[in-house]
Amino acid sequence: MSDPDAPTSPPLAPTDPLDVLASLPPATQLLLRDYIMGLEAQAGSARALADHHERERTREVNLLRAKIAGMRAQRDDATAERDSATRALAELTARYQALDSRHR
Amino acid sequence: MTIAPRLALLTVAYGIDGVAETFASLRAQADGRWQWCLAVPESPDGALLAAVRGLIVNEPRAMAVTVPVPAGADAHPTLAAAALDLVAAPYVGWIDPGDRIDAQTVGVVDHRLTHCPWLYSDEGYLDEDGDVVDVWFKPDFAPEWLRSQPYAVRLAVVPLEHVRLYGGIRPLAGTAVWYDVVLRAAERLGPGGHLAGPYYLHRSDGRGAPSIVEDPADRCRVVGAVVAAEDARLEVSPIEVAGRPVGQRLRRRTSRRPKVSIVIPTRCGSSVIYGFPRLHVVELIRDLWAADRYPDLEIVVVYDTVSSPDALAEIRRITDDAAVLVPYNGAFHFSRKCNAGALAASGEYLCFLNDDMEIVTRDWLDEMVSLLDDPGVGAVGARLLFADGTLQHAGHDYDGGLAHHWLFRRATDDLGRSGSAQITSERSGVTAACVLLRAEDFLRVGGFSEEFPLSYNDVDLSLKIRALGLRILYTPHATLRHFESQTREPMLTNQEILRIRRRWLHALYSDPYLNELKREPFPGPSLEV
Repeated sequence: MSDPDAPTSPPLAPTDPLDVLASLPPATQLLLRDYIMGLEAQAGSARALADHHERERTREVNLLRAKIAGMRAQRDDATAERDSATRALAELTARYQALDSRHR
Repeated sequence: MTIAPRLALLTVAYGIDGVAETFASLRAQADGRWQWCLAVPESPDGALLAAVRGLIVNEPRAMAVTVPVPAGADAHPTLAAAALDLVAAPYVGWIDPGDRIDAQTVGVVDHRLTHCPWLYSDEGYLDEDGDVVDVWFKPDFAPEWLRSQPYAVRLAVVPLEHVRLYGGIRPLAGTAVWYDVVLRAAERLGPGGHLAGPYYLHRSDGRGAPSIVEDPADRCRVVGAVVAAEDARLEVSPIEVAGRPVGQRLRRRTSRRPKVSIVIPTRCGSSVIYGFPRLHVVELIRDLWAADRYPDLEIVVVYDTVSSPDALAEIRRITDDAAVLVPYNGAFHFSRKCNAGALAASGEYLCFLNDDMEIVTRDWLDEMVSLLDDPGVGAVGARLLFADGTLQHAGHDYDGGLAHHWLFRRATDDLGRSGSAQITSERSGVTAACVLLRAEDFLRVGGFSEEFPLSYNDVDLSLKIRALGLRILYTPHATLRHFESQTREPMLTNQEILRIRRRWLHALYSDPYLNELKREPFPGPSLEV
């Protein structure tokens, strides 16, 4: 059995911030709860905006990549066309020269 | 080789008119994984079926069936059920004869369905030449809006498994079979995805108003059948404005009548209304305290200490000393006055009400209380009219970093924004001039923020309530007249604008009840590809 005359420790102060909040006068609680919600809203808004800009940038970069890939393909096609035309011209020139030398 | 279809579209046709146009729009799809299931009523000579089959011959993705149907309203569900029996795709939608879908629809729908259980699109209106003349730009998913108006029906795509599992096509639905399916999908599967853009093209003369083709009685019956599963005391009645169907009203008869504290901040001011002087707060309280008042009502008046003692004495007399009078000292600060009233109130619900109001709908508070009975709803706003009868408040919309009043100063019967001022529907926010919310939620979010003494306190409160995951409703079935000056410049201070943007910039650019194609783009750097 515990000794009723033994000294008791003082009650522990609440450690949960929400308990502390709940122990305050109602008007102060309102002020602090609004302040906390305001901070949360700012953080949430900043996060959402960052996500939005990230998505937008990814979309735009992907579009740019697609455009660059398309232009590269166009360039490669044009290069191949040019090379083939150059080869054809060289062949024609060679044939012309051969015929020309035969008829001289 | 045949490719398995992803999306089946159901059509019920009573004639050949428009069937070819619908078929052509399906054949023009960039993604060919569709199936068309057409049902026609059986006729003695089989002419209609022969005509339809002649049209779709050589197209294995299209199939037609004919069934004998009873005369009258039962024909539609019988035919729709027969069309549904043909479906071999995992998702199913509905298309009326003569209507079309955009050439990208099947591909886009299939892609979006990887992110949501079901979806719906915006709706374009076609004139007689088949040109798009108007678009019904719809909000993101809003359950009460859907109960009040079949806004998410064309084009709505739902899983076939869901349709079959939860009752299929129900005979009670009459002409509203697909609305019935969509309502059940919304109740069971949760929020549907919104495909912004007119992917569904509808033959209609519905310019400037929503095109609602379902019979009003059928609409009310299906809403009653789906929602009444949760609340047996539900009455549903159609809403028409100038002969045009707009939606339906759900009247919930709740047995619970929680105590409501009406908080009225006032200076006991008066002005001349309709040629007569009116002491606003006294007349309002006389109206509120009438014999037919809400049964469990508390009135909390937060008055400036400079207020006339005669006015306060009259308030005491009218209410038999039942009103709670809270003195307020200091410069005008709307938020602080409302918070002081809320702390003195004892009701389970709080209703903040400006003093320059006149009640138009006698059971306005019952209507608002019945809506707040839904645990998913955090606040309810009323329809407020100016003295000349134009709309002062039908909810807020947040766009371009600012808050605006929905359809401000339009006529009471305005059908803009798909007639949404005429139906109970979701909003991003409502005015604090008349708002009902739970006292518990009000205290939890810190009440009205003292950062906003004059303006934006209601925007901030609304966004805090929504941050708790609760929806905000506007109802036109609670109407009050607000004698606020129509010519008064809004009292906006730069500081309050900066503060509201610092807290809620993202929300002020992403109102879910404004169509995403109509929203202002976010500010910020862009590569402008």
